[in-house]
Amino acid sequence: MSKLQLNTFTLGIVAVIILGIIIGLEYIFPHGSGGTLLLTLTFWIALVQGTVAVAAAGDATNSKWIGPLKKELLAFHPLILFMAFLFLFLGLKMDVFPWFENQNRWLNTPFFLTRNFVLLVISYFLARFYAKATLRNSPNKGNLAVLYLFFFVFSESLVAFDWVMSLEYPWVSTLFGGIFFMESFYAGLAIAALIAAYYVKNGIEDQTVMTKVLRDTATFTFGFSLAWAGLFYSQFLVIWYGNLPEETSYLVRRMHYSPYDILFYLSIFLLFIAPFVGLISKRAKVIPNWVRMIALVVLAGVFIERILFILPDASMNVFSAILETVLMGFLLLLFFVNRERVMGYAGTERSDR
Amino acid sequence: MNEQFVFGEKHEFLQKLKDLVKGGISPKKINVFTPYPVHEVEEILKVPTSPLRFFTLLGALSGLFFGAWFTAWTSLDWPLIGGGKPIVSVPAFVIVTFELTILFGGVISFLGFLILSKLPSPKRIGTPVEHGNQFVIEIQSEGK
Amino acid sequence: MKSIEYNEQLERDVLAALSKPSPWYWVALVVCALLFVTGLSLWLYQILKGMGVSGLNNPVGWGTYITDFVFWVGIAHSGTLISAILFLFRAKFRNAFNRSAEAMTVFAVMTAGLFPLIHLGRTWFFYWLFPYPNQRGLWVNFKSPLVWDVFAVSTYFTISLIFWYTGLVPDIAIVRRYATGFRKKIYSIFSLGWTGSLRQWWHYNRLYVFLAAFATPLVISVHSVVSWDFAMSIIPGWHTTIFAPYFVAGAIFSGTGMVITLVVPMRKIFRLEKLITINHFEKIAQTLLFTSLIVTYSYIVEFGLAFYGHHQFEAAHFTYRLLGDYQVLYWIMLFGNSLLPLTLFVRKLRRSIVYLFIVSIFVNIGMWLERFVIIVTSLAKDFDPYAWGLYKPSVVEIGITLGSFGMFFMFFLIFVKVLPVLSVTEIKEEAAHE
Repeated sequence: MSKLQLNTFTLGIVAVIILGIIIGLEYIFPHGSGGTLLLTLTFWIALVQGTVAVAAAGDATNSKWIGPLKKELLAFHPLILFMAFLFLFLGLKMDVFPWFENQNRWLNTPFFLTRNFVLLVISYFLARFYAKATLRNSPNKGNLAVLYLFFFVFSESLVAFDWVMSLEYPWVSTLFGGIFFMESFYAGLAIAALIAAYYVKNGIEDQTVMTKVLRDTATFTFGFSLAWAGLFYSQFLVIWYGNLPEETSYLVRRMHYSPYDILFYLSIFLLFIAPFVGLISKRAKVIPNWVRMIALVVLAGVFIERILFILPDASMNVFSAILETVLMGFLLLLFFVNRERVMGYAGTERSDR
Repeated sequence: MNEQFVFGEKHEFLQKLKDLVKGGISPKKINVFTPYPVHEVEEILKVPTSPLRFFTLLGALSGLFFGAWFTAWTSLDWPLIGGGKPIVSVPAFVIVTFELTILFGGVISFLGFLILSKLPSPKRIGTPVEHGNQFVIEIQSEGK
Repeated sequence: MKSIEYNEQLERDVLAALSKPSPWYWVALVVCALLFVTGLSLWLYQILKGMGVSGLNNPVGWGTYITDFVFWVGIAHSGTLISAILFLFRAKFRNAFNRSAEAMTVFAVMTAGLFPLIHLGRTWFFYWLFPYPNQRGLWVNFKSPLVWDVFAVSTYFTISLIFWYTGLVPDIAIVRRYATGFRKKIYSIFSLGWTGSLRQWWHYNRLYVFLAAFATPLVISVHSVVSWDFAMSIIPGWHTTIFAPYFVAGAIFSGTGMVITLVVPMRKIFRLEKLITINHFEKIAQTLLFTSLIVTYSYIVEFGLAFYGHHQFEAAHFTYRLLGDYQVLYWIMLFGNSLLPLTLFVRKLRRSIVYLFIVSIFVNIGMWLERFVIIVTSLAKDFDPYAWGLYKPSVVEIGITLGSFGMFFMFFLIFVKVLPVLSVTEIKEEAAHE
């Protein structure tokens, strides 16, 4: 891993290069590029914001369980700014939205781009202030955590309503925003579980503390699998029961047509059945390899679900999608490995641990 | 006659318990009375996990299967199309099944608790054993 | 202070509340009992004269009674939140509230459970709601949200009762020790002969954890099922996917308000200031604020998305809520539920018991009005203008509503004199860990 250690400047350059490559792919493979870009945007924004949200939730409630992982979780926050700029390039692919021809007061290109960009930038700055405050253990951290969480909910809800729900315009589901920010939090928890499992397995950090963190993150992941199932079911039941043609089109397309139906049932399995059954026993929650696998299953589930949301409405290019996912994964890994440098807080008091 | 040690403070009580176990008294012969649950006792006396979980699992599973079977069977017994929904509409029946899982799970767990703790105990209702806020160690002597 | 002295002082402080009641207590109890009896008489009047004595009509066939039902089920939820969910999250502040909150849950569910019976009109046919074998071979319609309600609320009542009772057993054993004569016999029976032996605590701990683990998804499912009474329809304002989490958050919000309304006077009257501190209240206030924010989010999303698509009926409906016949109720609701709780961001206000009490009253009113507004406005003005019509509660409905409040407070007053209002055993356990 040491060869991935970079200084902040090089890190920035690498980020810009990756940004350039992803945008370049949109031009090299123009067919299906809108869908691919949306997939990359909606999946990675969930992870990047979710991890910060998990840390912030810990501080907002004054709970100690997430303390040892805070620095790791906050390592990804600069990528919120990255995602904001990547989002701007969606502006060149607006024809992916069905309302592009017929714009109205809320759904028109300039307002759409501005509000989402501004929200993401504000989220970035709040995440940054919050990260600084919490790593210095300043008394403001609770308030900044709450402020960040406000904008987290706000921006993720708009990701849901503007970026994804409007693909099915004029279809409406009021729960869609809730599903997205809850899934983002869920993904953040899965990443926390991954990091904790990695630490326990490789004997990094205080083992008694880390085992407890592992058990707690696994427990939360278990709990959130139930929460996800509850929200998914709430949306499904209302649409299924009402049987209104203007609403059921969304579900029918995803449940009764191949290949989407495979993705539909697969996402339920990955996001609910596997983590629920896999993490229900007390022993399972502290086995690093098992928890790591379940966490990866959850992340795969979120990815599959994003494909499921987007693909029926906007075609994707498989090669670009794979390449973009690998590049983004690499970028996150880089930021994780360089977390000390990223936040420039080498030598912070480890009083939370 | 059973030997009894009575303590006012938790740490004294735990220390004596540790000493007794180290001294070779079998944990099976030691009974302990506390005003509130003291988790250290379970570690010192090496108490295994309570078997209550089997009652809970039994209850929850029976609720799950009963709920699923009952909703489906009654719908098929006199099939009526309600609201254009299928006769056996799984999304709707999930709710009743879920509630029955919890109902049976909770009630059977509670009954399991009563059975395992041997409560209510008519002997103890008639003449209550009061230890108050004290921690008591009772050692069963040889030959009941 | 040695722990045994602390424990004995704690017991004396809490059990002092069980002593001979003051005259004011009797006055309060009589007032509540009178309200309750008035409500019952009005119900009897309704059974004899028919549902026409209520204001229910066509199109508004659901009005005050359903509002009361949803309101009381909602109140019940925060009790389970405080007992079960905060237990699983290991939040220590719950010990100051959980016994009263659990009692509140049981009484609120009992009160709520009366309303489907009241609303039936022909109350004597209530047993048709339950699936029992009969000579006509009929079964209930498991596809109906009303039947889901039957199962959800029955399960909720049973599990809440078991949870409350389980928590009480060691505390009843404490009261047994102080009681004499006939009372001692009663407490001995209800404490089941509890001795506090290792075996008993061993199984008890697991039971408590399992009950808390069951109660948590249960409480979320119950109010989701209640919300689906509305969401399963297709009328604007009711048919929306956010109802389940929105109602659950609203329930916890209104229930937390009721906890504050009950505990503030109780604490003062029984001089429990040392055990229920301002820090505890601050935590409860934060819960109130948090759930208020979720409710506000739901209002914004519902309203915003109503004007988002081509759905003219949804847009017209929300305009009606804001500017139509019931707008005054709607604005009071917004004030009590969304605006006033925002002031709890100010730390000084969070820590003022008087201010919290005032806010909690507004929350109770606001949440009752919210249920009323949702139910009545959607029924009063749905798709077909020919079928529009207004609704006003009649004297009978108002009387029965007040009677339900009388019943709830009456049960709570009786509870306060018969059982310890704080979970003494858990407070002792927490104190020993410090």
